[in-house]
Parts: sequence; structure tokens; C-alpha cells
Amino acid sequence: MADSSKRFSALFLLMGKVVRVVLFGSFLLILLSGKKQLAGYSADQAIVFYLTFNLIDTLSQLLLRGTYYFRSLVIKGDLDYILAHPVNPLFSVLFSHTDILDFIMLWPILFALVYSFSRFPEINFLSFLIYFVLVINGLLLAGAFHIVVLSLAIITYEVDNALMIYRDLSSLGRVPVDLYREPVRFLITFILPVGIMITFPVKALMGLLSPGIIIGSVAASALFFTLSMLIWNRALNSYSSASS
Amino acid sequence: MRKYWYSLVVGLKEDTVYVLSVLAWRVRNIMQILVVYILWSSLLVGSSGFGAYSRSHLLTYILLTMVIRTIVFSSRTVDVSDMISGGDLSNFLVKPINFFKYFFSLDLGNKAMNLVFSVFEFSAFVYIFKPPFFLQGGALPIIIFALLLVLATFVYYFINMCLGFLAFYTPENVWAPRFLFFMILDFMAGALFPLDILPGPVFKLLMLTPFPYFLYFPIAVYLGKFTGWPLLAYSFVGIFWAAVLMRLTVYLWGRGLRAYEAWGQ
Repeated sequence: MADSSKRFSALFLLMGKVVRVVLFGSFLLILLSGKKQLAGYSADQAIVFYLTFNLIDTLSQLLLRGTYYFRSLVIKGDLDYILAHPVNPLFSVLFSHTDILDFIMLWPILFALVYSFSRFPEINFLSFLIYFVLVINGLLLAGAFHIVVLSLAIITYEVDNALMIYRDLSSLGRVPVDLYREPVRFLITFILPVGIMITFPVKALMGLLSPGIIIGSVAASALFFTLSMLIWNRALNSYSSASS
Repeated sequence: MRKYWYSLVVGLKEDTVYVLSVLAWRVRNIMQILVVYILWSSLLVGSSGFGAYSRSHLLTYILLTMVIRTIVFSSRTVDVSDMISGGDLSNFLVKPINFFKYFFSLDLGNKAMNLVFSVFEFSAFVYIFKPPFFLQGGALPIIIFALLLVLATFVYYFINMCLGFLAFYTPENVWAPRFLFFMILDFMAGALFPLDILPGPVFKLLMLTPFPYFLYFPIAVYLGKFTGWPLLAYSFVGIFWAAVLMRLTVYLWGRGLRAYEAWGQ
């Protein structure tokens, strides 16, 4: 009974994840049916942007799921046990939970991406390599955001809404950031670097980014990540273990 | 009635006890709307509208979802499943208080709080962004719009109750069906776009489900998209869903209580 109940639950969760991807994708197609282009990008290109968003989102959900469970560790004082272990606490916390459903979700997204790439004969090995590097770069940025959220949890006990705000912000990357008007475009490209995280890999793939911007975006991610580590260390220093 | 009034007040105090959480939650609500609004306003640059919608009608639609979703979609009924699966329902059953009225009073308090916040946020948004807003001149569409909001509130309440009652049968897995419901909700209720921009058969099929009656239908009535027989017919579909879901809620409650084993107590 318990097993079938869990299978039933997993099925619903998986359906929810599929529905989320498919429904917004359908919405994009509806928009494109009216305008034919989205911020100067063709329907095929817009789909690559959307699939890349889903790739980075699913990978960060798959790898960084532990963030969602962190608040209870702090509130119950169980973080003490993690701190006492001979493993980096940040590593333990971030990678402590892996959602197999996200792993399942990853494959159709990857297949769809490979199929979409096949519609662009101009993609070569170098542009694909840069795309790959910038996707990793995007994941690094996603990691930095999650680390900041963990730090917030230590300082304020607030995780759920902060994570959801991050997810809402990153959802702006479901479409190319070029679509947005200034100052929103500048804000989500450089201050809250959703553009670097999601739009830049695809622009590089299509040969629309200069080498300077590619190097600059990697440097910006490194800076963001370093900053998030500093915040994490400050937060850990302020951890009083009051609940244990 | 006094005990339900106190339930409402206590519920309100519970909702606002963690100030930072309330603030973060409101920021999240604003973000959700901003994301859709920014997307649409960017899409509409250089064009007079989309489909059968003028620019002002479409942006009014998106802005109204901002207020209405916080009224309709705010609910404390998500606690029902935890109450059942944690066994806390046992404590409740011995008290001289009606389960449905209790949760409805909690919902009312929650909605009142949300209404206050969202009116403030809406005013600030209009002041800052100065969007083109369509003001409905007729009294009748506004009255029907208000009545449809009440209907939407009831339909949402009953659906959430039914989802919560699943905990009688699968107490360990109460989140999954609700997750699926939430994933479908925004799209099918019309939070991202007015549903009538969908292909005709899809739209007509969707109008037979309860989802459009949360957001799309009331706002479309406000915008004057439905008059005469279509307005009457679709209002009837909404009332039909409210009646069916109310019966289903009462039925599931009765069946659930027979299956209830007070786990966790």
C-alpha cells in the first residue's frame, strides 16, 4: 500500500513537472503564432532559449535540492550535526537531496534540445563548446543564488519565499532577455544575472556574443560565486545553534 | 457566529506573526505579476494589441489578475491535509465547531488581508508604471464581475477541500496531487493570458472545466467580452461546478471520516 501510494505520488509530481514545461511552451507557441518573431528571434530560436532555461532550471533543481530542506535543519538545530562532520557543510547541505524525478525530466529536455540544434546548420563544434561552458557558467550562478538563500536561512530562517523569488526571477529567462525593455533588460542581465545564466549560452551558440562578453560573463559568474561564498561564511559565523 | 469571528481574527494573527515571511511572500506575489506584465508589455511594444484584445484591454486583464488571484487563490485550506495526516483532526472533531465554517472563516480573514495588500500594491503599480487601464462604465458588468468573484472563491475553496481530503486515504503523499493542481492552475485559469486567444475548440473545451471561472471569466465579463446568452450560459457552468464540488466535498468528508484512523496521534 505504501509503495503504491509513493508511486502514485511520484507519478503526480512527474506529471506536474511535465505539465509546467509543456504548458508554458504552448503559451510561447501561441505568442509566436501571432507575432512570428520574439524580440527578433525566430520560433526555432525562441524554443532553444526556452529549452535552455529548462535545462539549467532542471539541473539546478536536480543538484541543489538540499536548499529546500535547509530551514528545518536550522530550526531544529540539526545543522550542528552537519557542521561536526568531516565534510564541507555547504557541500553536504546543497547536494544532500537529489530528486530522481528531475533526472527523468532531464532526458526529454536534452532530446528536444538536440533536435532543436539539428535545425541550425550554422552550429559548429566551437559554438557548441562555448554554449556548454556557458551552461556550466549558468549553473554556477544558480549555485551562487542558492548559497545566498542558504545564508538567509541561517540569518533570518526564511527560505521558502526567498527560493521562490529566485525561481520567479529566473523565469524571466524563459524568453530571451532582449525582449524586455530598459531598465528591466539591464537589471536582469547584469544585476540579477538571469541573462548571463540563461540567454547568453544560446546567444553564444548562435554566434551573437563577442569573445569579450563571453569572458566577461564568466568573470561575472566567478565574482558572484565568490560573493555568495563570503556571505555564506559570514552567515555561518553568526550561526548560534540556538535551537539545538 | 462569534466563534467563527474569533477564528478569523486568530487566523489573521497567525498569518502575520512572521513579518519577514509576510514581506517575502508579498514580494513574491508582486514578482509573479511583474513577470507576466513585463512580458506582455514588452510583447506589445509597437503593436496596437494581440488577437481580439486592444493594448489597454490586454494590460487591464493582466493587471486585474494581480488583484483577483490574491483574493481567489489565497486560502488556508492547504492546511487541511496536514491536519488529517498529522492526526490533529482528532482534536478538532471533539470541539463544538463546524469544520467547513471554521476553514471558511480562516479563508475570509486570509482573503481580507490579501485584499488590503493587493489594493495597496496595485495602486503603487498604477502610480509608478501608469499603464493604460480600461475602466468599465456600466454598472451591470461590475455587479456580475463581483458576483463571479464570490463564485470563484467558493469553487476554489471546494476544490482545495477535496484535494485536502485525499489525506484520508494517502496521508503520506498529500503534496503531489496539489502540486499538479497548482501547475495546471495558472495556465488554465488564465493568469498568463486571456484564454480566448486559444484556438476556438480548445477554448470551448476549457470553458467546460472549473478553471476559467477563477480568473478569466470574471475579468472577461468586466472587460465586456461576454454579454447576453453566452454570459448566462457560462455563468450557469460556473454555478454548476460550485454545486457539484460542494456535494463532492461533503461526500468526501463523510467517507473520509469513516476511513480516518487518527494517524500521528
